[in-house]
Amino acid sequence: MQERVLKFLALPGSEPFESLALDLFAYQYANNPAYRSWCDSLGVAPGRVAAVDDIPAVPAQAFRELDLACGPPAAEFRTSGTSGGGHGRHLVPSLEPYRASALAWFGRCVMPEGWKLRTLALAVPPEKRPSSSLSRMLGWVIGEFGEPGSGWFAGEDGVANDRLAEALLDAARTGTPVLVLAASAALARFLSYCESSGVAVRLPGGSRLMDTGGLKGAVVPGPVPSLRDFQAGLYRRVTSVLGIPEDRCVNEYGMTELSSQLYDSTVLDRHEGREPGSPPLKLAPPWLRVTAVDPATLRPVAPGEAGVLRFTDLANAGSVLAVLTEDIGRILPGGLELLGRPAAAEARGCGLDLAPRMAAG
Amino acid sequence: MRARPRAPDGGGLRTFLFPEGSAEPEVAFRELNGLTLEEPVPTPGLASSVARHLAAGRSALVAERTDTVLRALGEAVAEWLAVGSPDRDLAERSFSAASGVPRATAPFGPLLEPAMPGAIRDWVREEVMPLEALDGFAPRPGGCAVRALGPRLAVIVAAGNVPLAWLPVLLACLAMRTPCLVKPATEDPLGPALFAATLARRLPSLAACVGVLPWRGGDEEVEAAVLAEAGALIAFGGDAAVRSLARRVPPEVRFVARGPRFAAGVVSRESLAPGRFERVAGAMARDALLYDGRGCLSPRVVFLEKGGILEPSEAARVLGGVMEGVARELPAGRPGLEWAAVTRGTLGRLKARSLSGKGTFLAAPGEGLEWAFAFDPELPVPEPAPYRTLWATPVRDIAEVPALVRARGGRLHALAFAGPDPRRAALAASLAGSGVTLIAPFGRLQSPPLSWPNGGSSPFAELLGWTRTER
Repeated sequence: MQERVLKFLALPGSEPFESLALDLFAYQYANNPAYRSWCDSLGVAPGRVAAVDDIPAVPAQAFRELDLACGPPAAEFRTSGTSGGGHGRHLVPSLEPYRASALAWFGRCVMPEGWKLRTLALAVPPEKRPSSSLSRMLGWVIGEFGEPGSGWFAGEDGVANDRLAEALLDAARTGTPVLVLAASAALARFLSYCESSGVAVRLPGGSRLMDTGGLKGAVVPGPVPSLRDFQAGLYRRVTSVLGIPEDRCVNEYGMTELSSQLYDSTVLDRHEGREPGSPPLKLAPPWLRVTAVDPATLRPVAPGEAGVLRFTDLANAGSVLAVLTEDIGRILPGGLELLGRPAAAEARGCGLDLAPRMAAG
Repeated sequence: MRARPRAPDGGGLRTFLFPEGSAEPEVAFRELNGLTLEEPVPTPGLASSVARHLAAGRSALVAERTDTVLRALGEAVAEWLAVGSPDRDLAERSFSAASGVPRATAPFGPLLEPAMPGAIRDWVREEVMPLEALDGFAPRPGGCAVRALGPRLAVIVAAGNVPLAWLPVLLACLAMRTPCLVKPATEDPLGPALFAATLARRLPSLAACVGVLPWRGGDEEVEAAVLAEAGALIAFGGDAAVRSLARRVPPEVRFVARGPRFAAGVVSRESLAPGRFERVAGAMARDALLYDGRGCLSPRVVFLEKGGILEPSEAARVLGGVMEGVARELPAGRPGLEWAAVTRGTLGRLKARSLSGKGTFLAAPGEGLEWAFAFDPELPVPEPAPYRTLWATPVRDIAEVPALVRARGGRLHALAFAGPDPRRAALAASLAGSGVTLIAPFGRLQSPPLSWPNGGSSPFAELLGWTRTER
């Protein structure tokens, strides 16, 4: 089954997505005992599922409780959030589909020119944080797309601000374009450091940024901004402090429980001569189906309507391909508009926390 | 401008009510499930005009005798409590339409009953001593005299999770001769205007002292205009809304915040017995599902004490069955996308825990979100708490409850209790000062007395200004 998936990742038209997804579901039902018990509790088995949207999706929170793997794990990735106690764990029997998916779609969306660039990562390297799926992915990215001089600029004690600033100044001095990879919150902190210490550079043309994580872990003064406002504000600061234009900034949307990622269309749009949208939509690879569903019924909402995001990720070949998130978005003709990640929202109601426009009584 | 449920010229149902002489608003119309709402276009000038006229109306109210004012307040409540009250009917319909909570689930009755006429008088007498100080300088022992009056104008920002949460504050303010400007919640577009109209019909001086003006929360220009005239701001709302207002309240304006809170239940081992527990469970489920589980008095978690005839895990199964029946009587509303998403995730985790043999029991209607009951021996109820879900947690002894309450950082403010009186007294003693402000039997949690010190104090203590003369 993994060979079929890898072939599809390399050649997405090699067979229909639907048939591969249904076969993969049958494979996972047979080989993933925890997933089978989940399906059985719903009365669903492969013979009763005719459409991709009917494959039972496992809520991301269930990864905290169940060992959802089709075999002994080659890697165990953990979520960073601890709200409600415990980490989510994505057990991955083989890293090959994850690597193939990550590199192919990163290359398409962030490096469509096929270049290699000096790559500076504001993240902890994978050898120091083996449980981080992001670190693992960034390690692959540096290995594939990084030029000499690439490196890591964060450790368990935070971002190495001085060293990173020096690397950026060196790139500007020598006219070397760079690729900056960062967790959004770490980037925001580094920008604050630069702003307070008067560091500002003009990175050469071709430089670009990929950030991920949104508001998670970010320190924001005053009211919590919307995801869109946070991202827009961050990119304005990137342009001001690093000289990377906003249309060279790409936000990644991914999660530990998935092996595939989505990226803003910005760089790809520019590369292909289109005007980037505002806000940019997120592009999913052909092996990842994104559906917005009604959380009450779990059925897809009408096109363009907001719903809870459900992913069918063929690159999750060794765990579960259908994952239900708590994130909100809508599917538009050009891609996904991510509207919010309410699990990280603050309390705003009379003990009801998330009921919209509700409050104390 | 006198209040009418329907405007005279074929217009809509007015969401606003201004005192005589206030600026005329531009209005817009909006359809709401068959109701046509007539809403003012709020501007700083309009807000300022309404606030100024309300403040100016205070002298007429000050001139009224306390008996007269309290009688009018009581009559207004009684009018709404009467069977077939058209204003209450309209308010309930509009709340249901705007909030998405079915009428059966959000009855106004339990929130009005504590304000029966005699109860208002008893409350004010309990809070203001001597009561005559509201009419003029009243003698106190020792030869001094005291006078009590409220602020010149109170702005009440209402919330939409439950209807009428603003009512006790409004009654208290009027009793202390403070005119009120109410900002209605989106989910309760007509309730405040209709009740203000009822008051105005009962006593002309109240017509000059109660105004209702809707505006978009966070409209800083309109809010600055009303705060410029206000002596007090009472804000019901979520963290962000309350914090936003708090930053902008002028120092001379008293600020009373009613932010997010929630309730819990405690069942002692003595009540965990067949026959006895079923009655408690029914009342508990009703408390949890009334007002769609959105209220600050909606229990989210119930602590079940071990050592009874029924162990907590057995009681949980009883509760799961009872919840199903009560959920049919109190059907679900619309939780909103974000809350539903988080609820779906939490219920998914609970189901995963039950599949993995962690002692979790989850009762829910198939894959739906209409209600759920969860029992977990280890996992605490998360924040945000899932929609219409009652979460049971076993405790070795109810003496553990105060620590669990404190762990919630003061947000847990009300408890329903089932058990012997001495144990309730012991629990209450250990909770004093913890932020818990109400302990009531199951079934009465959602209908608190007027004297409940919501927020830890009464509106009289927070707002009433005293003057004392010595000889």
